[in-house]
Amino acid sequence: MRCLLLLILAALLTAPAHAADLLIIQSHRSQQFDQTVRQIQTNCGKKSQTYVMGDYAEFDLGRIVREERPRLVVAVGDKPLKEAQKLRTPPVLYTMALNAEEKGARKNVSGVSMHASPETYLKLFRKLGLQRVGVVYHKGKSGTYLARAEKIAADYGVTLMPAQIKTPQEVDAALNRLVSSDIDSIWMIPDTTAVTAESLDLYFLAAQKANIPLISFSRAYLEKGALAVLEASRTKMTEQLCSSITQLFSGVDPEALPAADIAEANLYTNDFIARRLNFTFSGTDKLFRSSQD
Amino acid sequence: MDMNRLKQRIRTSLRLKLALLLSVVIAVMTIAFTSYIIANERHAYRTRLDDKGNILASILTGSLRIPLYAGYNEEVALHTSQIFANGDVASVKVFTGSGELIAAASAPNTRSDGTGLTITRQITTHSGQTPETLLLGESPPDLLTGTIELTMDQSQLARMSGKLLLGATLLALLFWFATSALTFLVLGKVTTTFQQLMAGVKKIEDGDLSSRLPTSGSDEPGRALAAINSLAVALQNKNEENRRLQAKIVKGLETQLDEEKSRNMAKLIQTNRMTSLGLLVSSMAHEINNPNGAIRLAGEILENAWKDILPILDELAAQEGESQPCDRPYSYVADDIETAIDAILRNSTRIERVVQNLRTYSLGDRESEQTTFDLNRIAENAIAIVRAHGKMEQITINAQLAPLLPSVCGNPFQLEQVVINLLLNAIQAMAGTDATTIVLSTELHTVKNEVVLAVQDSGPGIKADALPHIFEPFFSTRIDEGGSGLGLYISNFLVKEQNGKLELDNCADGGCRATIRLPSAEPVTPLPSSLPASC
Repeated sequence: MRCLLLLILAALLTAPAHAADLLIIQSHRSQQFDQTVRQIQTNCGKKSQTYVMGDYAEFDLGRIVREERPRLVVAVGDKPLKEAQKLRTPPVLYTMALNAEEKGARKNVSGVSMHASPETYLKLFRKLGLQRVGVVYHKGKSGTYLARAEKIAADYGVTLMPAQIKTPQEVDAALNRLVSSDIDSIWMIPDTTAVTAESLDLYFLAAQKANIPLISFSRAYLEKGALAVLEASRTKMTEQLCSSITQLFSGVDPEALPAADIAEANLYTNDFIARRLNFTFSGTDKLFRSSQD
Repeated sequence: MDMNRLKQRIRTSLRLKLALLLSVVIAVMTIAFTSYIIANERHAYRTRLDDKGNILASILTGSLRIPLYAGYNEEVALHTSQIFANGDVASVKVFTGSGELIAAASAPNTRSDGTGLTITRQITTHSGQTPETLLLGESPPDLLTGTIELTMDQSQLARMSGKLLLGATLLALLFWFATSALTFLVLGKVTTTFQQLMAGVKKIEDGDLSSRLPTSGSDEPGRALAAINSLAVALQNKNEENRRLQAKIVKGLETQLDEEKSRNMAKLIQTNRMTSLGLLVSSMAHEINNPNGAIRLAGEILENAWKDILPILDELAAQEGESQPCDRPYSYVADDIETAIDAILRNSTRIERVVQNLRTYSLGDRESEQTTFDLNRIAENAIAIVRAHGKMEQITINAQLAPLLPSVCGNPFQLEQVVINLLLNAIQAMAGTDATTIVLSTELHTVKNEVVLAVQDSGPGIKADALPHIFEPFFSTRIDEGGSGLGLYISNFLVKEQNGKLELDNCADGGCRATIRLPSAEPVTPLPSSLPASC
């Protein structure tokens, strides 16, 4: 009898735990992160377990993965992505990671970037008749994104005039070079090196001095002097992430699932700047999609 | 003018006192106001300097944020010199985030004693609207990129304060002098009225009520002067009225004194006359008693002789028959003679008694005699004397004397004098009226153990207003008819001396009733009284 009880206990202890499908690692608590995580939990239809790195003094993702045994790790933010890239298994999907590009590509890592797709911006440039678009970027953070944009820019009749920088202090000089090279617009991308608190105003000053429009990525910049912004759709970002999760769960190889940009972006404009610079926007074409041509 | 005279003049001059007081007040207010102006200007200057410094510091901070971040030291120096070129800036220093001085500008004579207005600002990076903040909600910590130290030049403040102090002091002195002079002039006008008022009051105090103050206008001083004039007129009228009243009172007093003097003189004459009359009565008594004694002696001799002769004459008449002496039968004549002898003796005795009473009344030397006596006897003696007085005219005295009265203790002569006085008063009260009867009654009050003698006339009675004063000395309702006003006063005094009580009241049916109540000298037994208890 005693031997039978020991066998039952051993069987229980050695049996695999009932693991969650998704292990969601959230960078820290903020409105944007909390909202995104809620959407993942709600919309992706998978059982999940969430950890917030900001709640721990030391965070050991490897140990958690060993204990939780998830089928997929979702990294929400740059810090979780950095930790998740150390994992060999399971597959990792990221989102809300501004600097995902500089982390480098790994076989088991994919995700949805924070950028609206280059196509959406190029469509806007074409719509506005902008042909020589200057852009300041950091190669490690936005080089791939800009390369993809340059690759298709000609299809939209746009010539990108990139100005690479290595530190934020170089933004002023880079902008001055762009303005002097006869650009007809400035494209501000969400590059954390190119756009800082100190350099932010330089973009708008440069656009103001050259009397050219500035296209950016957030509505907050309209009040500072941007002509138009394409704000990536968070809902679309979650949808794309859920789609990737479904594909992975259905057996798609992670290597065959490249990182993607947000396929939809909403247009917001500053009418005052538009009148000053003689641009006209129709009231219906506010939504820009990657697939739309 | 020496100091003492100046002090004396200030002490006695309201104008100088007020002028000095107001001058001091104005000086204090001027100093306070000037001090406030200077302090306020200094504060405003400091505030303006502080505001300007803060604005310049803000401008410099904004200008240096990017050059400091980007390491454009030449641009930092350029902005620093531009700020320094602005007025009121004493020095500008710019430090990097690590504390290294990378730009500085200062005036040659800048004080470094720490008294200048120094503004220090730190230049930091801030998250603002970076992609991290906008897209991820992250707030990166601020990074110190530099520090500026801006010192404002306050040397202008000292120069401005000096000029302001000088100007304000001169202005304050001018203001103080002007207002003090104006105050002195105004006070001169005001105190002129006071001086006129004081002059008027002084004249009134000295008794000069005829002078008048000059009045001008209807303002308060004018009304005060008019009031003083009115007061003087009122006092003058009052004085004249007082003089008239005083003269009238003096004249009235003189008249009253003359009348009093006349009355006193009349009383003295009356007293002298009574004294003379007493002496005369005493002398007359002596002169009457001698012949009356002879008459009485002769009457007694005649009586004795007649008693001896009458049996002889009766026998002779019996023997010889009645003779006809004096043309009348003997028996009649004998009766007449006997009656005559009896009348001689009786009237002689009466004369003797009347004379004796007159002597007793006039001499009055037995007042201290205390004895028990019969009140009825006192009443009879009084009636006899009053009748002898001969002034009763048609008046009769109805004596209703109670029999078997107990004796009373006292001085019978004094009490007799009282009863006589009451009877004389009753006679005088009835004079000139149709009344003819005075009732003199005695009775015994057994309950109170007292004997009562009452004199009731049928005259007009005593007036109600005179009744409370009737026993007061020198009060008389017949003062014009020679009354002394002492009769009832003395009578009341004498009755009280006998432990008795004298009462005087009007009767319901007219007339006056005087009642003497004396304590009985012996226990009494109740007897029915035939007299009414009261009138």
